[in-house]
Amino acid sequence: MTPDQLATKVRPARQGRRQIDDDRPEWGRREDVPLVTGQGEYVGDVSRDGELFLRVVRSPVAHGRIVSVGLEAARAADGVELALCATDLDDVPEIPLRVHNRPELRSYLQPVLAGSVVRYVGEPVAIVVGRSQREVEDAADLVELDIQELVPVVDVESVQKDPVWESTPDGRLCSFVARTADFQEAAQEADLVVTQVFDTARDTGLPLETRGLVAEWNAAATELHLWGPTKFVRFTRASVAEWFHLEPAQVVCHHVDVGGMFGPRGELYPEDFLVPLAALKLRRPVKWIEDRNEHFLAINHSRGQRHRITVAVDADGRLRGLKDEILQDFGAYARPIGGRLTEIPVEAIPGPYRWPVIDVTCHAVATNKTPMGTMRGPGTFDAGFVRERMMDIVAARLEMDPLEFRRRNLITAEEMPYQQDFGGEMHPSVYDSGDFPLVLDELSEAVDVQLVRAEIHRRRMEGELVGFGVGLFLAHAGLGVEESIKLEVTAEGRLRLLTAGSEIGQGLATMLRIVVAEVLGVPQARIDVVTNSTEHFDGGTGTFSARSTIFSGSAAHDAAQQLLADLRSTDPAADPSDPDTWRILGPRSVIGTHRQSSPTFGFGVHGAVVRIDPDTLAVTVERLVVAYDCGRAIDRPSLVGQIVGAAMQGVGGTFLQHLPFDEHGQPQSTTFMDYLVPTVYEAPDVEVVLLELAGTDSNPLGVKGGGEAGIMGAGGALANAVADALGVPDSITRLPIGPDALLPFVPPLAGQDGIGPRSCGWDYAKRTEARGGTLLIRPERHVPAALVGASAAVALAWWWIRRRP
Amino acid sequence: MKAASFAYHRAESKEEAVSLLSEHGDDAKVLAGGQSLIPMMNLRLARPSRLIDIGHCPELAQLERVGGTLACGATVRHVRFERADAPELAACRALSDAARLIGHAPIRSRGTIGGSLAHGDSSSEWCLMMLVLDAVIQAESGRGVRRIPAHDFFQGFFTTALAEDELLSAIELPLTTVGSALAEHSRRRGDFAIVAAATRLVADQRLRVTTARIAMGGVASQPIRMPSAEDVLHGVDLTDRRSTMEAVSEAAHMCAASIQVSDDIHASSQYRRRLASTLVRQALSRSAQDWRTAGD
Ligand SMILES: Cc1cc2nc3c(=O)[nH]c(=O)nc-3n(C[C@H](O)[C@H](O)[C@H](O)COP(=O)(O)OP(=O)(O)OC[C@H]3O[C@@H](n4cnc5c(N)ncnc54)[C@H](O)[C@@H]3O)c2cc1C
Repeated sequence: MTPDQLATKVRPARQGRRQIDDDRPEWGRREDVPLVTGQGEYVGDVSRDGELFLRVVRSPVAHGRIVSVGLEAARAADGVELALCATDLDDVPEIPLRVHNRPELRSYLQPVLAGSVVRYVGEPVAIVVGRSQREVEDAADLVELDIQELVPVVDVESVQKDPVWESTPDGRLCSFVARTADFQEAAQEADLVVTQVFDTARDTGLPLETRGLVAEWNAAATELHLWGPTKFVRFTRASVAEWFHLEPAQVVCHHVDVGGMFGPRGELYPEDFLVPLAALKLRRPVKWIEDRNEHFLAINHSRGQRHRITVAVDADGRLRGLKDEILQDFGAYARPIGGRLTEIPVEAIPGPYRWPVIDVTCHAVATNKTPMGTMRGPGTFDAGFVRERMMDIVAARLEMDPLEFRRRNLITAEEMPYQQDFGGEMHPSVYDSGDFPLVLDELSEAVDVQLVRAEIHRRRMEGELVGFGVGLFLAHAGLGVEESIKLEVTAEGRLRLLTAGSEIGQGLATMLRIVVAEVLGVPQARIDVVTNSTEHFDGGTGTFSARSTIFSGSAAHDAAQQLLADLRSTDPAADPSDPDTWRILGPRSVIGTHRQSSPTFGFGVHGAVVRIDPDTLAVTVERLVVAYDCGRAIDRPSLVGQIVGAAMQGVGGTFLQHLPFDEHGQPQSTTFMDYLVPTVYEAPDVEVVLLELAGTDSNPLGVKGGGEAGIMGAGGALANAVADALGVPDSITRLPIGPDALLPFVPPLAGQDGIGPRSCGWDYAKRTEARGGTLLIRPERHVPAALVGASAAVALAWWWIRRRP
Repeated sequence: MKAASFAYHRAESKEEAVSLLSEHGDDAKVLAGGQSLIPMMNLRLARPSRLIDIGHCPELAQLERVGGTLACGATVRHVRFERADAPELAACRALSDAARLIGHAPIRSRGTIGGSLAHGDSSSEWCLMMLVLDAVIQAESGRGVRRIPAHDFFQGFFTTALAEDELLSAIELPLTTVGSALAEHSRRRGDFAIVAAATRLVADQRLRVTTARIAMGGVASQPIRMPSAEDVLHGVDLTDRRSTMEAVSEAAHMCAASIQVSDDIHASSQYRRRLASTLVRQALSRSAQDWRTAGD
């Protein structure tokens, strides 16, 4: 079967899928029209003749030795064609590393099916393939798992009684150290030294569309067709090819629409092997669509850091040094992102400030929990929360205005490019361009800080709990070294861009169209874009980090310039806006490329105003303002959309979302009843101040990252605003901030037990006075014992069991 | 996420539903709006081998005034109360206020009052309202009809007085609901409440409290009444704001102090207690205010 034959076998576009009117004048994101009118074609919509369904049987325990996996009953069940576990395979491949900065992580890779040990709840142990989704779920229930339980490791600081990895009893799988000088010396010379411990809870990117994969082989098993890969299509394809001893070109990834990515979706997972394997064994197309319940167990989690941070500062507010010991909850296995996950927080913690000395370490600690990967703003969101909280805490001790304190330490435009060293072991970061103080001024102006503070003062007098806070961040972007894109002129004179990048709602297609239209002087409506497909063009890298405009945009720019040169050399007088011009030139194609080895750094500031209801402790985000220097905005509405959406995800991560585990390593939040995301009711109106400060010459478009900026400072700003509203600078030390985090700091209700009527007033002045700035090294805050208890789902199960006769 | 297989019966009348239940009671479940049952089946937390769909029995969907009570069929949907445009609901503003707090619009257009009561979630608005309104719940089976007072109906964690072969067929509600209120709190709008408090005060002509009801959700394994806190309010003169406030505060405090809850991933017991105090106070104040307004 050739790809073209195959393509025609894919169900034709649904009846009435709206055609794009070529002659309409320039208009917005035309790729959105089918998506918002229910006509998207997602992997779940792909249906192949003779397809079978696959169900993964997952470990119900966090840590244990597999004694046996009984598949007989499942194999005998109605409709089942195949059931297998690790012992049925000659060779059990592992999920490989994509980032090789810590080769020692090769000892901690995940086998696609657990063989002798299970290390987290949700780890694949067996698969069942059969006629219908329901039947394979029925059959999967019949698989008998005999697992001898071991003591799970749940907290990053607990002793590994039964280590997650026997070879590594302390659980530290890899480390990064950044030490530019002796911190102790700096601390001794400083006027004030403050230490605090912070935690960020586990969370995940939560794409609305869960994962899914359809695999189909040709008759000779020389060609594998996949529907579903996204994000890092090239890596997925190369890995799958290697597993099945194929050349990458023998694996064809077909375009499907993608319902969100946010980091975890599109990474390489065991299912990327298991689904093609089943299709190969049965010589039938096999489809697997993850359900939400398994999604919460199986998709990469993120965040999950503990920071023990110390800042040394002079009385005049000049920073002397930064020390931070970071423990990254790494989960049970290394994911393809490898040591990068452990490296990012180290790179991110200094932020936009001048630190004469830094001494930062980060250890990846194995736990019996879902493996960790990235989600929007990986490491940077966490580091932003920790650093910006710390800046407020230190400013309060110094009795200095938190904005003024920051200004004194911000790297200035004159210092650009600024090199942040990390000592001998790590590459320095080079902040290529920017004017940080200017962006901070823009934010202050947009917020109208003076007015807001006066208003807050007035409202506090009336008994309200309100506060204002900021969070500054550096958005490193432009990772992945290179990108290429194919630009075709068809015989009909249309232009077509083919890219490995994914349209995931971020506006990739429109951005590319704008870039090409601008260079060539053709209307956007005459340019088509085909994303996340290797069918017609198999070069390119993919969509991740905040790289698409920098890389895919610049590659498209290069391609368009090549094409323009072609046109000029063919006919210097040709009019590019005339369709005939292209008809004569076509068919032909060019490959555009962009290479860049160091990232660009965008800079931004979040400002937030929050109110705490003194009765219910509900926090309302009254204002959330983001000022961001993106270098240049290609498609402004899409960029603003990215910033607003990311800020909303930041609101969720700050107040609602987390993935807690109990002491047995059982995930407590596995449905949307327990995992709370902000809905339209909780969503503030995000105000965006977009700045386009020229300066970066890393790419021809002069752009910086845009997809992650909106989340990066959100945690810091919102947490600072909450602490300000409480009037207790060091109150908030963990994310997310639930009502229980506020409880110790809000005015108690009257009565000895604190639940009588709320009568006492709220004297802010008194509280800040009581916490006034003397020199002290704060002891570690007592961390409340993990809140445990039955989640709703477990409770319901219990109810059901009890009601059965 | 597909339910395990089951047999499906669609009852066309109440009689048929009752007889199907007598036949299959032990392995059958009634399907009403499906807003609780179906998610549990899809998660395979519930695996009934039979469903008896009562969504097509006309007599179960009726809502009518019979003397001083509202006779409410089991499958009357939440949305019907929410709109409150039916004349028979004119006197029942508290019911529409409560209905509006249940989930989101799609849930309210399918979910039923009978389903909510039979399900017996600890923080269900309907369960709490039935407790404070002294509603009577009718349970019908081949053995006849039982009339169960609401305060005897909720027996434990998702457990009610209904026997396996009994259909919850109707609810008898007092028609006037002056002095009823419900206050609740959830992290997001539309979620089940972390804590909810329903209250009702009945007063004589001089606005002295003759009967008080307080019911709480989210603080025990089932919706519960708080009888000793209710007693505090007896005889209180609602025209005297100060003594009313004092009694309200004391009752709220008693409720909060008496509940036994443990921590879970959404809230600590300490926070629940604080909410209990706050919400009982809010609901009772509204109940008192309602009488003062009615008295004006
Ligand atoms: C996202 C979400 C949010 C929600 N939020 C809330 C909320 O805030 N407050 C709230 O109160 N509810 C909430 N609900 C639940 C909703 O109100 C349900 O409708 C209600 O709990 C059950 O009613 P139902 O008609 O859907 O019953 P079903 O789901 O059909 O049945 C529920 C149970 O009751 C039994 N049953 C139903 N009817 C009868 C009968 N007549 N006789 C005997 N047994 C019967 C069933 O067998 C089953 O065991 C929410 C639901 C969802 C999905």
